[in-house]
Amino acid sequence: MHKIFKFLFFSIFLINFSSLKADTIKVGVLHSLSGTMAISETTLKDTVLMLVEKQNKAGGLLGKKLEAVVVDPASDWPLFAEKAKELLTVQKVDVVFGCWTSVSRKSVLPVFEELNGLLFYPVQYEGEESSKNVFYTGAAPNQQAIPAVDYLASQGVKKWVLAGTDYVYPRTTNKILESYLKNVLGVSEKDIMINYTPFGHSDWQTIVSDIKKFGMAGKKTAVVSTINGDANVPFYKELGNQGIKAEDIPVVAFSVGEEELSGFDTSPLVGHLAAWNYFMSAESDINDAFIEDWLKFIKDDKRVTNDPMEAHVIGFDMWVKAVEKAGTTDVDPVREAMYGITVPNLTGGMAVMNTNHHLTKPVLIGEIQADGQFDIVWSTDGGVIGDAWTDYLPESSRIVADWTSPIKCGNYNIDTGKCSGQNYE
Amino acid sequence: MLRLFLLNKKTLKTINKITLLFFGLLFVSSLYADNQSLTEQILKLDTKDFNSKIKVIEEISKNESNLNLLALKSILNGKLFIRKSDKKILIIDIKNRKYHAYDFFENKELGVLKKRKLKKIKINNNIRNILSNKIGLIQITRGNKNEKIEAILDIIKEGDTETLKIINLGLSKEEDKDIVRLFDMAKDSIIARYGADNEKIEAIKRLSGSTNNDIVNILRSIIDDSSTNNYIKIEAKKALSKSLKNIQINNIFKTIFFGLSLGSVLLLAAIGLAITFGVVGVINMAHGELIMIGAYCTYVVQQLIPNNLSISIFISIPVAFLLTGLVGILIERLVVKNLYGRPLETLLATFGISLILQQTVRSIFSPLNKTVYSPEWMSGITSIGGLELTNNRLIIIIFTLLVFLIVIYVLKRTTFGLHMRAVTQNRKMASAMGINTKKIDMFTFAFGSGVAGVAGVALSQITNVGPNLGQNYIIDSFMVVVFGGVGNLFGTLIGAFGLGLGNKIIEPYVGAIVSKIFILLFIIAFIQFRPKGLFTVKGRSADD
Repeated sequence: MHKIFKFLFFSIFLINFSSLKADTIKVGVLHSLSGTMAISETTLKDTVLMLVEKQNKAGGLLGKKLEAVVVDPASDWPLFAEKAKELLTVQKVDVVFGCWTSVSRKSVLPVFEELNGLLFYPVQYEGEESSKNVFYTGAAPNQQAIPAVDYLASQGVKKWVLAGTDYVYPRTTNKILESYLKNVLGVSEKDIMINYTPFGHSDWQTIVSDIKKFGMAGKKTAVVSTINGDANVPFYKELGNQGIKAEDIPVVAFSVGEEELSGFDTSPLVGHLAAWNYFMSAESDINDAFIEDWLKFIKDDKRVTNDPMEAHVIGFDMWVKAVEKAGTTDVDPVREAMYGITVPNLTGGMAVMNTNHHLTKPVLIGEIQADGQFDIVWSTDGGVIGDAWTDYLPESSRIVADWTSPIKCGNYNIDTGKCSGQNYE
Repeated sequence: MLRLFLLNKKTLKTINKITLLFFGLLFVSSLYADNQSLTEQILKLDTKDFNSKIKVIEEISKNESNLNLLALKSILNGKLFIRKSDKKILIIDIKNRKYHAYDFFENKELGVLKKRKLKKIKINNNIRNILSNKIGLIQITRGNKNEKIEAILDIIKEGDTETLKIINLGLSKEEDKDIVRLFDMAKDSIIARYGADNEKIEAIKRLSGSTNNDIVNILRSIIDDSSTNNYIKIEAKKALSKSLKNIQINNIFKTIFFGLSLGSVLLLAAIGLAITFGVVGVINMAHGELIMIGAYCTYVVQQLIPNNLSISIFISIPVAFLLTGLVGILIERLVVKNLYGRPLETLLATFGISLILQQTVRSIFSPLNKTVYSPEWMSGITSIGGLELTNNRLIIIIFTLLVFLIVIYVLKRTTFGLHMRAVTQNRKMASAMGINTKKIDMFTFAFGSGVAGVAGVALSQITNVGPNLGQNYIIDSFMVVVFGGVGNLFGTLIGAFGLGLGNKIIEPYVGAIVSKIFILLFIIAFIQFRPKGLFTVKGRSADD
């Protein structure tokens, strides 16, 4: 009897509680707060919380308050799918900001497509994907890797080391780069060295000494690094220790930003490069205001801002604008409203959401400085349109993504005129 | 020069002698002219076009003002800024994101300025190269020994006939043998490219066998250059093949060094485990986290003593030992004690502890990696006859061996060690002889944990200090202990260095991933034949 009462009381409480909250718009946050990826993803969770707080202070959205629902998928890929399901079915969120690694995105993809959710994915990735239910606010390979290689080639680099961690993003990016180097820049096979290392690799002595040897052949050499996460610190330390300076063999990295650099002493790394769509050092009023807000929100003036944070800012602003335009938070009208929406970049200029669910944004190349920041040494004149399917792999050069009519497909083959569905291989 | 200038101004005010005034004016005005031109040149650097910056830097390096070296160095170090409002040239020290400004010409402190009010003179790698070359050329005659050595190495790459004149000038005044030898090498590297043909051959002959990067590149460029005479090409090819042979020999030693260094890291991570696993028989999955706590100790001590890196490193060794030892005691008293003789439960319980410790550290220090700075003497290279060994690895090898010797000493020469060995060999007999085995278990566990903490201090110098640090080492540690033989410290030593060398010998041929797989396969195969590892405890004292 007592138990039944308790249950009744509890369920009434729950119903009341949820009905009380019904006049809020729920924003799901799907970032790992524990486990190996917590190092990168916690910051993004805080960014979304900050954006939600700011939007509420400005009067909310459609007359309602926003409410952030944070879940912790704990760097565990199957758990990502479970938590995504929980957000969409139990919490009934209107939009989700989340994921970092490609494998976590691939894990939640079927959930979002089945339940018709809306995911904003903020990290640079390997491309070769365009889902109806995902907006990709990070860089596609043509917005990061290709311009970086072009820049180095313009600096006289003739020999290339493609070094990466052994998983899908580096493998695919390096495949695209290898094809680009050979077919577009005319680099011969023997001038390209490809090297993969396991996750969290910490003993770089042999590889760095191999790179040094490879670079001793008289032609200017550069390393294009897709080394992920924690493995970067020992890699850069070994470079510094073996006396490889950026003037001799520059390393351009796609996964190293301000946050990764805040983990170590960067003075031996001055001059090594990174390619992103945002740097904290970018000079603009809107960036200064963002940095100030962030430091105030996080209550630690030593923290930095980085590219995936900007991607969330752009994604969030776009979503807010699209909801206002559509007058509802329902997924389908919001998605339609997203196309062509423009919001300011933190680095100046405007970002545009294209019908392939990728952004148009500028590409910047920065050199690492002794204080852990980047000096921007090169940037594209305007925005670069994110290309979901790369032009440099024969199998995907014939595929396009366009979610408006008449194509309405994420992987439309222009030769056969067929849409192969998300299971395209 | 600056002081002279100020002094002159003061004297002008006090003494009213016409002659002095005249000379003073002349001096000040010429100085003023130099500074004026330097100012103009620096202001010209405020452009986005890196090619035009290169030209201006050429001009600055030829400027008569003595401040030109300071200007070049400040640009290279990213410290030269222009104030947007009045185009004043400033030197900026960035400390904790605060921009401390100094007047470039008068070296006067101007306080903290806002970043937005300043314009940095940005450079890229090409300009960095040119700058270090220009600075090298100036410092070759003005620097101290180390600066000179660095300067000479810097100018080899871009050396030309202009450089040669400066080298000859420097050489005529130089007495230090090391520097003279380097000067000769730099001179030969230039003659080999720009000299008369017969000079070229002599120079190339002298360069033959050199393992210096730039020299090898120069030899290659001579061979590739189609305008080179054939007989010079032949000589260059001979020299190059000799150089390459020397490099190859060096590489063999290098591989051995890499192997030893990997081995020492493995050993360091495994010693603590060898004690807890080998002696107490506890499978401690939280061992990696104890290493991590040791690394965080280094970070905390460094935060407390920020100004002296060497002292903070030495202090963090005992701090890490005591703190992780204490954590070890807690783990033993609260959890492991109740689970002796139940290995599966111990394994699960300690795995749980490892997760708790990780998340605790994540909550206290945030999930981000922490910066641990390395003292000066741990960075850079020691070269022994052309063989370049990195200092931090060298020091870690020595440190590991020291730790190993201390552990052996404690085990073999102290009463505690005697009791510990007695308990390992025959628990019941030891107990009968009056040894408090429970207490020994606890202290052994604490000792092993403490050693893990010390390992953390060393590892903080080569890898990330973050909550995940321990996970990267736990499997390797178990591998070493099982391979070397449980309960045998010398087995652990041989096992660690054996695996380290094996890994590094295979790696150049098959890559990092496959070599790791090879090593694991090898160990799986090995324990099929010798389940007790390399060295087993033999005789009646053995458990079975």
